[in-house]
Amino acid sequence: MPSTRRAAVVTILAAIGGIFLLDAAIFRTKLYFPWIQAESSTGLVEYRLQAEIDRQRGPGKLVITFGDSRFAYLPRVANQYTPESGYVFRHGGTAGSSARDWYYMLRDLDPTGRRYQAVVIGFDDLEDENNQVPRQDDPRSLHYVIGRLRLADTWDFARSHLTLPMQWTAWRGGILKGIAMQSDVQEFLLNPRQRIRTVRMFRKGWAGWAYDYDDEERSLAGVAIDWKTRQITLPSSVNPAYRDMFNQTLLRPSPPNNDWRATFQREWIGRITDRYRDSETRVVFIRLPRGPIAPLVDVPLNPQSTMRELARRPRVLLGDPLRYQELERPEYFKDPLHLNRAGAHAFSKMLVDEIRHLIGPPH
Amino acid sequence: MLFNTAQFFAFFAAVLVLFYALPWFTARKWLLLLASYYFYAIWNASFIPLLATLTLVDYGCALWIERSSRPKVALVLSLAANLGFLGFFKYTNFLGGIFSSLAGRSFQPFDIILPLGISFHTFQSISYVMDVYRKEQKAIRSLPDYALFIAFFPQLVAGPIVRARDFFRDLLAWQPPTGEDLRLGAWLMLLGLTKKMAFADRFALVADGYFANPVAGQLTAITATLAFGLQIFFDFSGYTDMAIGMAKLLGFHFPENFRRPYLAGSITEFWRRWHISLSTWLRDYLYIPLGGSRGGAWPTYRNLLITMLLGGLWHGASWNFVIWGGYHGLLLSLERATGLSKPRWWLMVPRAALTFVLVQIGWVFFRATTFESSRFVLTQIFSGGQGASLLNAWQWGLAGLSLAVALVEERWAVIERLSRGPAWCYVPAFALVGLVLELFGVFDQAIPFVYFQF
Repeated sequence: MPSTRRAAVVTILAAIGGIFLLDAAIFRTKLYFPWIQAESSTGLVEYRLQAEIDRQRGPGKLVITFGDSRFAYLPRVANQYTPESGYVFRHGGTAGSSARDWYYMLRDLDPTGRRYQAVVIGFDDLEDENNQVPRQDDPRSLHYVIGRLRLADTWDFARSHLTLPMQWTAWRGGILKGIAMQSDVQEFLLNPRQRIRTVRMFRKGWAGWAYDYDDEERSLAGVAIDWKTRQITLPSSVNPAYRDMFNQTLLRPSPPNNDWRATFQREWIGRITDRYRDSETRVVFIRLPRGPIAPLVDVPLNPQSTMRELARRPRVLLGDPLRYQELERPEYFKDPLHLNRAGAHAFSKMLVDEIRHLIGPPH
Repeated sequence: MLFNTAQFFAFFAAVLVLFYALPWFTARKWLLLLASYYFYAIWNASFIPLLATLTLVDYGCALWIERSSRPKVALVLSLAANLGFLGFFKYTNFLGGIFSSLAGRSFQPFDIILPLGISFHTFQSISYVMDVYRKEQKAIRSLPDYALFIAFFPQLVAGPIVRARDFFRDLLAWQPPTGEDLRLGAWLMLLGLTKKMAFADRFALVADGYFANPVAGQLTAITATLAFGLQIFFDFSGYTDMAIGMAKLLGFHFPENFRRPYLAGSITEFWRRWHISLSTWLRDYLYIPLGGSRGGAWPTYRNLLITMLLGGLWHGASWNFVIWGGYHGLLLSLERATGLSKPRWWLMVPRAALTFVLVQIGWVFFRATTFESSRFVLTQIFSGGQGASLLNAWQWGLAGLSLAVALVEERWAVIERLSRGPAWCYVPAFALVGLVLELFGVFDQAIPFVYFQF
C-alpha cells in the first residue's frame, strides 16, 4: 500500500503513541496492579494502601502514621487504648520509605484532605543532621510509588532526584511504567497460576497479618559502647554482624556537610503540610527512638531546622523531641535500628498518650 | 554514544529535525558531516585527525589514480596508509608478541588504544580506492562528500561496510525518503533496539559471566556458548537494523547485512547470510584477487583458507580470531570438496541444525579471551561433567521465540510487508514490539555492542 510521506510520519507518530497507550492500558488501569507480587516493594505499598482504604470505611476517628521501619509501633497495641484516647491508629509507612513516598501515598489515601484526625510522621532526626547518602536518589522510591504516579507527576517526581541518571530513570519509569515493573511482569509471566494463587491468598489475609504482627522478643541487652576507645561490647547472644551496623550508625564519622536532608524534607514534608493547610486534620512530627544507645554527644537542638520551621505552619504540631529517649536502651531494641516487642509495645502506648496530648480529643 | 542510549536518541532526533529543516541539500550534507564528526569526537576526539588524514589520503589517491598514467603508485600509497594505520593500531602488540617469543624475549605490550570503527572505515576506504583503480567507480570530486562517505555516523563504528557506488548513488542524486522508507526505517530502528536490549543483552549477562571465568560442566559450557551465539547475532543484527533504519530515515539505503544466518543449511550459506557486507567485501577484494575458484580445487581451498584467516584476523589481533577464521575456512573448503554446500531440500532441517552447531563451536574461539580458555570450554562441551544450564526459562523462551520469528520471516517476509501494510497493522505491531522492549529490555546498564571493539 503506497503511502505519502506525511501519512507515513503520522503513522509512525501514532505507532510511537501506541507504545505509550499500550503501557497505559496495562499499568495505568486496574488491569495489572491488582496482580502484582505482594512481597515486592511496589506490592508492599499497594497492599498497605488498599488495606487503609478499606479501613477508612470502618468506624472510629482515624489517625494515620507514616515513617520507615524505625517507626515500629504496633497499631493493634495502640488501639487497645482507643476507649481512652478516642482514636484509631493506622500505619501507612513502609520499611525503607521516605517523605516523597509518603506524600504520594497520602495523596491517594486522603484525596480530600479530611479523612484523618491527624497525620503523624516519625523521623529519627529533627535537627537537619545531614545524610551520608541522599534520600533523593533512593532507587526504591520509584518502585514504592510507581502505582501512585500519574502522568502529570512524572516531571516533578523525576526532578526531585539529585543526579541526572536517577532523574532519567525516574522520568522514564514515570512515563513508561512497564520499565519499572519489568521484574514483576517477567515473574508473573513465568508462572501466572502461581501468582494468581498467591495474590488471592494475600488479598484475603494481608490486612489481618499486618495488623496482628507482633515484633520479635530478642533484645540487645548487654550491648555497651566504650566511648573513649569507641569499642563495642556485644554479648554472645547478639548477632556479631550488628557490630558493622553500630559502626555505621552510632560510631559513624561526623555527618557530611550537605543539606540533602533539609532540602528533601522541606520539599516533601512541606507538600504534605500544604495539603492540610485548610483542613481540620493536624500534621504531627515526632522524633522516634533512634537506637539502643543514646549518642554520647547528642545533636544540638536547632531552632531553625527545617522540621521546626515547618512545624510553625498552621495545623502542624511538633512532638517533644526527648519524649521517647527513655526507650533508647538495648533492652528495647532487636538490632541497632529497630525496636523489639517490648520496645514496640512501650512505644505504642507512649505514642497514643502523646498524640492525644498534642491534638486533644477527637472532633 | 551507544545506539542504545537516550543520549544517542536525542542526538539522532536533533539531526533528523535539523536535516529536514534545512532548505538546501548542500547544507544538509554539511550537517551530516558535522554530526558524524561530532559523533566520533564524543568517543575520542583525539582520533579525529586520524580519520581526517585517512580521508584526505584516500580522496587524493583516488583522484590521482583517475588522472595519472601510473595509477598503481597511488593505489599502493592508499593501501599502505590504510593498512599501515590499521596494522599499527590493531596488530602492533600481537605481532610484537609473536616476534618476541620467536626471539625468545619477553614483550611489554604498548599502550595503544584502538580507534573506534577503524576496521570498518578502513575497509570502506580500500574498497573505494580499489573500485576507482578498477574503473568501476569514478573518483569523487567533492572532499566533503567523500568525507561523509567515510564518516557517516549510522555506519561509522560497526558497518555495514557500504560500497562507494551505493552510497554516492544516494548522495549525489538524493531523493527524500518515500513513505515506505520512513515506515521501514522507524520499524527497523525499533526492531534493532529490541534485538539489542531485550535479546542480546539478556544473553550477554549469561555469556559475559561465563566467559570471564569458565567453569566445569558440559551443559554449562553448551548453554554459555549458545548464549553467546544468540547474543552476537542479536547484538550485531540489532545494530545493523538500527543503522539501516537511521539511513532510511535520512534518505540513504544501506545493504542488507544479515538474512537469518542461523537458518543456513551450510557454512557456505551461513556466510551468505551473516555479516553480508564483510563477506562480500572479502570475496570481491581478497578472494577473487587471490584467484578465487579459477585455478582448480586446491588453489580454491587455499584461497578460501587465506581469505577466512585474514577475515578472522580482521576481527581482532589474537590467535583465537585466526583459529576462528581458519576453522571457517576449513569448513568452507570441506563443503566445497564434498559438494555438501549444494542445497537439498530434504536435508534442510538436519543440515541447518548441523550448521548451527558448527557455527556455535566456532564462537568459542571468537568469545574466549585466550586459547587456553577456548580449549577448556571446548573440552567441557565435548567431555565435561554434567553441569547446569545457565539459561533460565526466559532465555529459552526468547531463543524459541526468535527461532519462530526467523522461520516466519524466512517464509513470509513479515517485516517488509508490515512496513508496506495498512496503518491498522503497522501501528499495533509497532506498539507490541515496543512493549516487548519495555518489558524485557536491559535498561539498567548500557551494554556496548560486541562489534564496537573491532
